[in-house]
Amino acid sequence: MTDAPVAQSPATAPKAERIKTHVIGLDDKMEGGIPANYIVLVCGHAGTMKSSFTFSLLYNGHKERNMKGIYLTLEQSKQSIVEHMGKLGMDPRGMDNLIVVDLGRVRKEIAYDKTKPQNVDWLKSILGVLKNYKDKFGCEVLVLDSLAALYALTTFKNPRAELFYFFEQVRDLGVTTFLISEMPTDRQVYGLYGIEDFLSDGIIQLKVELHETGANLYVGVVKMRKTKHDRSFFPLIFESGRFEIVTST
Amino acid sequence: MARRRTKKKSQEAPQATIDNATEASPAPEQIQPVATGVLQQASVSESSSSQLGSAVSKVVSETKLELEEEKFQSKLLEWEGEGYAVEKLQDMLSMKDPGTAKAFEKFESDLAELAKLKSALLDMNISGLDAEAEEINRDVNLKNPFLLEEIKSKFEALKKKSKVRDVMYDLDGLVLPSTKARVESLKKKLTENPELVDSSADELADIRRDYKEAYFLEGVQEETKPREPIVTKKVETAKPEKPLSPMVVSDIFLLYKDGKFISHHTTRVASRDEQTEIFADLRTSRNYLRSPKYVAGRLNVVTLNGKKILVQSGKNVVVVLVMSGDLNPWTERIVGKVVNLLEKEDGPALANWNGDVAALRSAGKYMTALLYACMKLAKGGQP
Repeated sequence: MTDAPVAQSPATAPKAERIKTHVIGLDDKMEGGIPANYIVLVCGHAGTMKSSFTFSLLYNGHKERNMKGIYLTLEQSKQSIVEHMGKLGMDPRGMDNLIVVDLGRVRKEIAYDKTKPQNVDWLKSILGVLKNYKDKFGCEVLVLDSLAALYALTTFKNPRAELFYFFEQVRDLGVTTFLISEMPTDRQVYGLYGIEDFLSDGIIQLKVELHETGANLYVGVVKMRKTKHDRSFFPLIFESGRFEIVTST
Repeated sequence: MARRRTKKKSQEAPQATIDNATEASPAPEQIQPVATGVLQQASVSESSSSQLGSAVSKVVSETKLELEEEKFQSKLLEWEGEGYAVEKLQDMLSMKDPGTAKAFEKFESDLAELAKLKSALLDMNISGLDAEAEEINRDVNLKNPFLLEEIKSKFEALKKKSKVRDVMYDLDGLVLPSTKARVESLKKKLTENPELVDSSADELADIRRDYKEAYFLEGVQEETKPREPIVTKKVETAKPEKPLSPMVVSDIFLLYKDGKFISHHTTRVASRDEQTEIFADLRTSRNYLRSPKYVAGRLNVVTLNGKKILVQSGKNVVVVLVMSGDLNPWTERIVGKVVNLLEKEDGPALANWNGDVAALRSAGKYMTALLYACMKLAKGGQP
């Protein structure tokens, strides 16, 4: 038995509206995409292209229908992300509705400036600004890179309860949210606290499998509430600026 | 055999001419006379048939012209009745100008283009460009298709001006410390050469994106700063330590959600100096509205030179109150109620407001009511 509150599915998610992953073949495996307003964990070990996977979703969504998205980075700098994505054929310049917010910079400023309070409530601050931003400019999809970096900013006294309220506050924003989670190598859990998987509405896992001559990348939809989805892991390839899964015909 | 054939042909010829007017009469070389008598007979019948043919074709073409003229006349009457300038066409018609038909055709197609221009002008947001729009709209222009090219070029110029105005307006809303220099530079560029408006689209998109990123970053920076007392505060929790001095509202501004000015309401006649001050207050409230500090849907309090500027928004409008004295705890509730009522009544007009103040029928009524409510609060009354 657990006394932890049970996460609820977003009641407001309209069934017809789904956010495409823009991975060729993957959306067809889950009724056309991810239901809007869901919180989805995108998890995997280091080097599994989690950032590129989520950025591709924002980039192609903007290209296809001017989807409004925010890529919130807490570790990697904006410049590094933009350059990296540009090399992958996803140059966000000229896209005024796809913004990359470098919160790592603010973190550094606070860490170096001892006159500033060090016990900042980052979760509250980020959510408050997000709400204002959404009211002012609109936002359909948010990518938070990464959960581990966010945890590094916060000291949880009661992670179970505090994370539940954080997820609920994110849900209240009415924005489809992708939380990038680097899976610990020592345990088979999708997030650091082991409760992120049931607090989220969906889980997409990326993994690398080694073979004799190299390594192959795989993607699988482990969980997607209220969606009929294939649970297989599919080989994932990246070509000409697009991800694609390989399926047997 | 040949003779019989010739005679038969010559006998048949007039009949054929009558039946088919000029086109069907057999060519003279087709008739091959054999005997002189027959030749004479044939020649007589040939000339009479040709005379008859030309007479008939003359009648037919005259009738055709008359019919066409009638058609043109009726069109002229119709257009004249609708107020179009048809003098040129009338002249052409009376002088039986060979280009009349073509001129009528062109006039008709130009009329259709004029109608399209008129409807495009109606759909256009002409706020701030009323004089130019009025010039095009003037009856004399829109009723004269002969001026179509001139009107078209004026319309294109108006479209460009309207685009520049929109871009300038957009730029006004993109001012944060990190974007200010680029905004000013683009504004200067467009003021000097409005023709560059199309080629500046990418530059504008980049500024817009950078503004959004800066808005987010500055918002978080602001949140993580040590709290300053009372910049934005909850009214309900404010507990006065000394007796409150009356809240005196001097001006109320009604703005659209994007900061566009709708109306100004005041209880006094403002001097020139006071007007400058009023504009400064309006500018402050607009800047605040665009800053990350602003909290939508709540009463925001900005302190400026001993005055307080209150900013509170609904779904589509923003109310700004300029006041002195102490904030009355009822204010947020009263402003919220007024905004709700206004948005309920003018909802459809506000949803896609194009800058036409006349479309907001209840704005004046509710702002005046708010002004009276504030006066009542100042006298210590209950709202």
